[in-house]
Amino acid sequence: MKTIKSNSHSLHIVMFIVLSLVLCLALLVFLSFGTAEISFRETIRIISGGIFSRTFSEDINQSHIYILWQVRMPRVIISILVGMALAAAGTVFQAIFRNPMSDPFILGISSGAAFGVALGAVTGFMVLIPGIWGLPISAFVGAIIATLLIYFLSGKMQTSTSSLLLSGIAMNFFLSSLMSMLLYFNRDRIENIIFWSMGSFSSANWDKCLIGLPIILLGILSLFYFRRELDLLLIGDESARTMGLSLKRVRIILLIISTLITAAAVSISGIIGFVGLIIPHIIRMIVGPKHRVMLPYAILAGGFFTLCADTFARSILPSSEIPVGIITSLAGAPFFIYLLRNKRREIL
Amino acid sequence: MKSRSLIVIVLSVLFLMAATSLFSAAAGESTTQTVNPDGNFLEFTDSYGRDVIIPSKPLTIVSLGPNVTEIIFSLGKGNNLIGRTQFCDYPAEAASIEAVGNMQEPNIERIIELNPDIVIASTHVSPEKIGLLEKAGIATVGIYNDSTFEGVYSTIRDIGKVLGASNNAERLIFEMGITISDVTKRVAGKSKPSIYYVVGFGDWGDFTAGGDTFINQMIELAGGNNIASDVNGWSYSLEKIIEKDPDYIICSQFWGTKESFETTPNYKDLRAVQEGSLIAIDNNILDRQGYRNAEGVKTLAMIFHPEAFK
Repeated sequence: MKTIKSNSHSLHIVMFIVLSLVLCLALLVFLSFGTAEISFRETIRIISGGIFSRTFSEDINQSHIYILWQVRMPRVIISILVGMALAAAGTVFQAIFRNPMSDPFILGISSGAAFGVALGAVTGFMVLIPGIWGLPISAFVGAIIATLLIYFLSGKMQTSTSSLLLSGIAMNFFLSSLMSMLLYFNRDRIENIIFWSMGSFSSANWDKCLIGLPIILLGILSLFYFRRELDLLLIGDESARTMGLSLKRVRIILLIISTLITAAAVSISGIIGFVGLIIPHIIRMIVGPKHRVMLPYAILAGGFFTLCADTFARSILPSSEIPVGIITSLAGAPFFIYLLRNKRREIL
Repeated sequence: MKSRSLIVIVLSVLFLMAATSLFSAAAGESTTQTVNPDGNFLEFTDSYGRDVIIPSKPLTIVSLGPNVTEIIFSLGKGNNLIGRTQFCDYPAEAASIEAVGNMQEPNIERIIELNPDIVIASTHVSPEKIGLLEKAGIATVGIYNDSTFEGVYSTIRDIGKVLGASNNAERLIFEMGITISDVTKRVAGKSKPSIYYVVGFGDWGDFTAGGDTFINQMIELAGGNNIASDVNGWSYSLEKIIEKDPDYIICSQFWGTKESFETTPNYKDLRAVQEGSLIAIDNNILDRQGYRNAEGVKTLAMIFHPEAFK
């Protein structure tokens, strides 16, 4: 596969702007999808009406206005945000652990966030924190503990694919057993706990947007600030040290930021797997591994991927929805196996 | 030497096989006959298609389902109940009876220890568990029927037959019929409000009673129009609820459902919630198939057409 290794800075900026516009267009088109029948034309009329504060003639269904603005709009925005967050986190984890199999879900960090939320809900810790912030904070605490465990289990730096994967698998098993135990002793809160394992955008609302937007956007921007260091992490500590940079601190900062945006994503929509795995690899195959180039594309692609997956999940059945985690796993798992087989050959 | 050790191994294996099959034959004496108080037996075919022989007037009963417990009490046989699931919470007298697990995980050992004359299971109990009880010599029947009023009547009749309380069963069925026809008369001809029945909502998806469910039937009998009757099964979507804009929303009075509904974004903005037409009821009178289902229909009718009950 040919890589577009163009070093032209302006070309990439133009491409990025074009693709962002494509994403916005997709957002608009997908707004018309859903269990309520709203045609694309009606969608445009309602959206432009809302933006330009036009009043409506009587032939617009009032419930459609509500559905578009209060139910679907936050939902498509959140699905894009979560995809961006997971793709960014996956890219960074792959650099930090110098391991192509790293992704928030496989490493067990998403499960850590989910468990943090479940524990926070059950112990009542979440209600101690004012407002809507109890949820993401519980998620973050769970996620950071999982991250630290993985980090120390894998010996702080690069490790063979298998031992990192094993740590992640062990983490996932451990956390899901803990969740089952929580479920068993708290049957009245079953729905709260189960939600976090299944991943869904179906309860998206503007409140969740308010939580997600600042954390994820700021987190992604700060990751971008470290794009040069991300490249250096991949070539190894010794080479980096000869360039006079200590990567240890950068690694920890990047780890914390990625965990934070993962936790934010999980607290909004539950566990959604494989996005952080597939997207960075596909983008690297197209534009090469330099983070300055591939990170923005990865973020856009991640957003686009989850937007499509969610739109599919909520419109394929006439009156109900498939959990979006199923769609991403169906796409991701075969790709994961493909990667595993290719990488094994390289290692040997 | 090799052939000798081979012979030894083969003989040992054969010996072990013989020993274990003898052992299991001795231990696993399967019987569906039990010693019972007045020595009479009853032949009964249960809802799983099993032909069983059970004591005709059991004195001690274990119930493996909340609806079964309710029916047992309403048949006047509550005093004979010595075991129930942990979820059997109605009537209040059930609380004083020992809990022996739940529908999926009945505590087999404890039930065997209690040695009831009969165990009545509902849905959710696996055939293996029933088989275990059978092997221990405990008469076990599984009783469940269609999710319709005819099915409920059959269930009450079946349990009545098994407990030797058939007269009471007929009386209960008769009373239920009277309640329902009274309701039907009162709501006849009145315009039907649109209803949404909440089974579950929010983060884990929207669930309601679709057109093929018993609850849908009860809503219709009560003079309401179930907005979810266009789907089969239990899965729905928030967008559809908003689009159809129901006049009344019925939810459970348990687990903080109503408070949660009233504070969750997008749900709290539904017109029915804003107008105070989100009504919380004891959902067990609808969910559990038994004597209280007629009361359930009446409760719904009184919500939908209060003026008909003045």
